Amino acid sequence: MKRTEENTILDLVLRDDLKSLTEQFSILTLNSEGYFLLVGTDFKIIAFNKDFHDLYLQHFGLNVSIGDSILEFTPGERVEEVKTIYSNAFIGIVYGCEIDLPLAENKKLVFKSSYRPAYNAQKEIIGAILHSYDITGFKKLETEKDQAKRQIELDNSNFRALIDHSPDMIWSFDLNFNLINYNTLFEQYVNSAFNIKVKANQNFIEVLKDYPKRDLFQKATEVCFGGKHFKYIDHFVEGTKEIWHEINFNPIFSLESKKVTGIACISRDITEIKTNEKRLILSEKRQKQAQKIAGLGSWHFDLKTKLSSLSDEALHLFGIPASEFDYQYSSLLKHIHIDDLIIFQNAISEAVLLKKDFSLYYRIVKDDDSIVHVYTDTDFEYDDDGNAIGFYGIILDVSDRVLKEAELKKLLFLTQKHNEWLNNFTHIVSHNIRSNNNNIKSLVELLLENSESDRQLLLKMLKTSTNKLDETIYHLSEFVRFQNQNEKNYALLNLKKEIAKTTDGINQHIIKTNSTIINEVNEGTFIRVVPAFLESILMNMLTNAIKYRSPDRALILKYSCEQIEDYCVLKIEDNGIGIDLDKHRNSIFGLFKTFNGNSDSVGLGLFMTKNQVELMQGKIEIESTLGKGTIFKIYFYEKN
Amino acid sequence: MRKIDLAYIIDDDEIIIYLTDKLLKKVEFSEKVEKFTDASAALERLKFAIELGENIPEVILFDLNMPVMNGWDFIEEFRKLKTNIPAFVFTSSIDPADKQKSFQYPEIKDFITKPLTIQKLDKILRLITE
Repeated sequence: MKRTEENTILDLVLRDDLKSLTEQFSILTLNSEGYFLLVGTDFKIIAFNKDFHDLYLQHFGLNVSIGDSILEFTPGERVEEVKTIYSNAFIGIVYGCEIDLPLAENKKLVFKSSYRPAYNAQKEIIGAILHSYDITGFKKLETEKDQAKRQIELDNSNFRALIDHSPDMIWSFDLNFNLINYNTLFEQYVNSAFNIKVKANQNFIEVLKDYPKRDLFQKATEVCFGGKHFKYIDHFVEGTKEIWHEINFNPIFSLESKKVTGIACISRDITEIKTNEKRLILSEKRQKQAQKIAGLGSWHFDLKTKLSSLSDEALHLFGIPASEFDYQYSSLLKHIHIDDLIIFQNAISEAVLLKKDFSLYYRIVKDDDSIVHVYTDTDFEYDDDGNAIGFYGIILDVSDRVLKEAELKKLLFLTQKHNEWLNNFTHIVSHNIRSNNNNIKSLVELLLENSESDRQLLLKMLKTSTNKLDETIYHLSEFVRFQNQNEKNYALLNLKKEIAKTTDGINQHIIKTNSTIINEVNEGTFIRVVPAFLESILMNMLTNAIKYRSPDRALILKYSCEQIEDYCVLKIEDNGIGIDLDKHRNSIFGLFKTFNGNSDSVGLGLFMTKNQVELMQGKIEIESTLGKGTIFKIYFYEKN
Repeated sequence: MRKIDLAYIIDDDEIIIYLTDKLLKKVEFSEKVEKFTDASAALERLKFAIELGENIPEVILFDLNMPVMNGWDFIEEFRKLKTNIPAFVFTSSIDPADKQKSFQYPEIKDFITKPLTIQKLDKILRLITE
């Protein structure tokens, strides 16, 4: 049984100074709100207030009157219930309950009602008093509140699910650092890292006791309580593994006051990103190193912006400091070798026009005039729609390769020359030896069987043949001497002195033939040569000059020297019989060429000289006038 | 040995000329031998003889390695005359390349290496009279 404020009504009813029951009821209803009804023990209405009358009139169209039985306007199914309630009141039981009053359209009114006995002055129960409040509105509010509460619960569980399934650690705390919310990951982390089992409302400061980055955390919270977002990277080692976390601090604002009420933290594991970032930095660094080591640069040309970008090494190859490069293609052109400029520009413009990949060898001239040989290979770059948007490529320093190739070519040339020379030489020598040998044999046979008359002629011929054989054998021995000559045998020799050595060697012969030697070569002239070759060349030139001197005048042989480009050119000028170059120009240095019918010659001298000069990267030229004299020019290559 | 009327010998080596001439005379190879140390002179002489209707050689022996005009230059000029005169390479060269090259010319009947012998002259004669 509920004891409510209605007890006061009961007290009023019991006042002695009021005579009649209805009088007492009127006073009761005057000061109280709600619907009042006084029913006799016979269920007939004794009295009611205006609100009660109006309620039934408004909702049911019933004009309630005194003397009506309440059971008449009670719905059938509730008659028994109403009878019981009132009967209880009739025997002195006070009863309170909520009752519904169904209306049309599924609406209903809800009342909080009390039923109590009504006493007369003699304190005898003469009926019951019903007092009802309309609590329909209140009920409705309560229902909505329930729904809202359920929604919040649902939202909360959704929210829990969301934050619990997040790969990030999430937690929030209020201005006093008391934890508001956190997800399982956070719970697990705190448990494993600080050995603390967190619970809601726990003070977070305790958790942070052992946190190494407390200062940073403190700063973050200060900024965040001030209403601003803050983040920092936490880096630590877990076992052997390096871990990075990015921790974001977001202020929580209250809906009403817009004031900060707490902080929501999200800590994201960015180890993978960091590791990749590190790897990328490392790989970029390594790429740079590799480019440097390989002499390999890369570059890119954007067709839209017309800007070129070059890697450090590519700029290095161009000799442009990275800080000075203006991304202009034209700035590169200044550094391209003048002879390669046209092919370079053609290649680029053709590539731009036809969207065609290309590769190219060209030379770069640096500011210090040094030349770099480079190879460029390009590929076009296309956007998702297949339109060419630029091209990128590599620049490779191939200077070493080019130089080596040149070296190899030179070596190959020398080897070929040498082989050719060997071939020819063997050919000549075998030919000379065989033919002279044959001649000698035949001449001796003739001498043995012939008469006196031919003896003198045969002996003269025999002498010629033995001389030729002797000269051939001389060349053969020279040749054997040269066999071991190669690049290693180069030496720097004083040309004037070497000439003098040669002339001194056959001084007797020079004096005997009344020849004059004029050595005008500068004393300071040094040439890099294979000494044995030079000796042989000078000797050949000298003996040739004497051999082919004019019978009409004494030989004057003049040596002089001049510099022509990369060569030191020795000029040997005589006043001998000369050679008809119109006839012999092409054959003068060839095999077996003897001229002017001079029977002393075996045709090896000039052939040997030419080959020796060429083996030392030089060349030999001849100018001659028949009957006047000959000039030989021997070019000694200086860069050996 | 059957004697032929006229032979040309072309060789820049005077000793060879002398020795060959001696041998030809000894075996009575030909009635007459004309000797040239310069192939171009021989060529001129031959042209002249043809023009004037003089005696032309029945055989020509020529060396390969000669200054001014070598044996190959000579045979190129010689074949232009279209004479049917049998020519023989007469050389100290034992280079197979030279031998091979000489057989490309139908005018060259054989490749004779020095020194000349009676046996070789027999062979030449046989080839001419075939």
